[in-house]
Amino acid sequence: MAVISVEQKINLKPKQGIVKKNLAWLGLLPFILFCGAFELLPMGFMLVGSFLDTKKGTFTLSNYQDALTKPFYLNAFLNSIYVSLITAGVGTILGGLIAYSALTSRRSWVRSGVITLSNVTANFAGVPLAFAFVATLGSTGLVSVFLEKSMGIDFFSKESNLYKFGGLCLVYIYFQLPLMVLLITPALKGLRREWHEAAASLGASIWQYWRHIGLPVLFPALAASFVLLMANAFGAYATVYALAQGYINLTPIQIGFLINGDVALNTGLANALATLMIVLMAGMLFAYQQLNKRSRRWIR
Amino acid sequence: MRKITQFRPGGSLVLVLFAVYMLVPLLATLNFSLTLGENYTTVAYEKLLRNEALFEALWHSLLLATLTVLGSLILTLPTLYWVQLKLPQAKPLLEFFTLLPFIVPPIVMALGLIRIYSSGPFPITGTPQILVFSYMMVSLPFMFRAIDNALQSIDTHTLTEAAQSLGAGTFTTLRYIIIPNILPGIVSGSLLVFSSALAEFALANLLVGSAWTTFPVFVSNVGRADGRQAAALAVISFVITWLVSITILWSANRAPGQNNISLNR
Repeated sequence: MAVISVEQKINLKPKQGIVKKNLAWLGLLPFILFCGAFELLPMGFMLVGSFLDTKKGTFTLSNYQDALTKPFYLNAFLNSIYVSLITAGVGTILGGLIAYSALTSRRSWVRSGVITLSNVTANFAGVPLAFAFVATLGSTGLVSVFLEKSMGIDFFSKESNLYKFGGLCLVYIYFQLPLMVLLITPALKGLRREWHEAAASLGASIWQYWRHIGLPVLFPALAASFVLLMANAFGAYATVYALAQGYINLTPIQIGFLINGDVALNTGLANALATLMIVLMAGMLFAYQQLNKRSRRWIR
Repeated sequence: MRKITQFRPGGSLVLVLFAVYMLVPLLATLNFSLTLGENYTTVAYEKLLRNEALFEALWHSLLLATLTVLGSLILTLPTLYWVQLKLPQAKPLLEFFTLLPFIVPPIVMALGLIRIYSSGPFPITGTPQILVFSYMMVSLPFMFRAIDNALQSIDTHTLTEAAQSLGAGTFTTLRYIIIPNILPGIVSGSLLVFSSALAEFALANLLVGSAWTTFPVFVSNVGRADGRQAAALAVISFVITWLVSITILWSANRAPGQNNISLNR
C-alpha cells in the first residue's frame, strides 16, 4: 500500500495535485456548512449580542457590568462553580474508588454488575432523576419520612433541604458517580499488576506504590475525568430546572429565565452570561491541557 | 502471582454503599408511584395510560431520535470517509467542530439558535426541524468518535483501492465495502445518539416547548402538577433508559474499542 501511494505521488504532476486537493475540500462542504449554521453562527450571534443593548441595539458593556456586579447574577455564577467543583471532586474521588474496588473484586459478577449499574444510572439524568429524588427525599419522600419516623432525623422532611444547595449536590452526584466509574475504568485496567509486583519486590510499601507509580500513571485520566465531570455539572439545566426552579440560583437557570420567561426578556444579559460561561469552560479546558502537558513530560 | 494481596481499603463496603445510593432512589420512586397513604394503588399509571398526550409525546421523541440518528449518519459517515481517504490534514478542523458541543452547554446554544431561526430565511423555531438539527449538533461528538474509531481500525485505503480496481465507484465502495466493515461502530454511535436525543430536555423546552411536545417535556409538564404521576413517569423513563443502555452495552461488546458513554444533562 505504501508503494502504491509513493508511485501516485511521483506520477502526479504538482499542479494537478493542488487542483485535486482543492477539489477534495469541496467534499467537506456539507459538514462545514452544518457546523457553521448550528455551531459557529449561534455562538457568533451570542457574542455580538452580549455587547448590544437589548432595546436600542447599540454597543454597550452594561450587559457584562450587570452580569459581573449584580449580586443576583454573580451568586448564580458562584453557585454554578461551587456545585460543579464539589460534585466533580466528590465524583472523581469516590467514583475512582468505586471503580477500583469493583475491578479488584475477585467475583466477576461484582465487576460486571457495577459496570452495568453505572451504564444505566449514568444515562438516567435530567427531569426524571429530579422527580425520583423528590419521591425519595422530598418533604413526603419515602426516605425522608422513614428517617423522620424511625430515627427522628427531619433533615429532609420538614425543611425540604432537597431544594437547597446540598440537596442539589446529592442529585448531581447521582449521575456523576456512575459517569466517573465508566470514564476511569479503562485507565484503571491499564494499571498492570506487574508494576505493583515489581514495586513490592523492591520493597515498596502500598503507600509508596500509589504515591510514586499508581497515581502518577493515572493522573492524566483522573484530570480529564474531573474536567469532564465539571463541564457536565456546569452546563446541566434539566435536573435543576425540574428539581428546584426558583429555589436554587444557577447560571443556566438564569439564562433560561431571561430568554423564556418570568423576568422581562433581556437577551443581551442572557448573551453576556452565556459568553462568560463559555469563557470559564474554555479556561478550564486550557488549564487541563497545560496540566496534562506537564504530567506527560514527567511520565516520559 | 496471586499472593500479592491487592490493596482494597473497605472495597466491599464502598461497593455496597454505591449500590445503595444508586438503587434506593429507584426503589423509593417505584414505591412512591404505587402507594397512596398506606394503600397500594396503580391510579397514577392508569391516569397516564389514559392520557393520549403521553403516547403522542413518546411518538414524537422516537421519531425525533430516529431522524437525528439518520441525519447524523448522513452528515458524519461520508465526511469522515472522505477525510480519511483524501484529506487527512482536515482532521483537526473536524475535531474542533466536534469538541465545541462538549464545551458549549445546550442551554447556551439555545440562545443563539432562537435568535437565528425565529425569523429570517429559516423560521424553524417551534418546529421539530430545529430539534433534529440541534440534536445532530449536540450529539455530534458521540457519532463522530464512534465512526472515527471504527474507520481507524480498518485499512480504508487498501479496501478502497481494491474495490476501485474492480471498477467500483465511491458510492458503491462506501455502501458495499466500508459500511459493512464498520457496522458495529455505526450501531454503537447510532445508539448513543438515539439515547441522548430521547432524553434531551433543555433544547426541546426552550426551542419548541408545548408546540410539539417531546417525552421529556411531557414528563416535566405533567410531573409538576402531580407528584405521584411524576414518580410514575420517572419509573417509565428509567425503564426506557434501562432498555436503551442494555442495548448500547450489548452492541459495545460486539464492537471492541467503542465508547458507551453519552452525556444527558
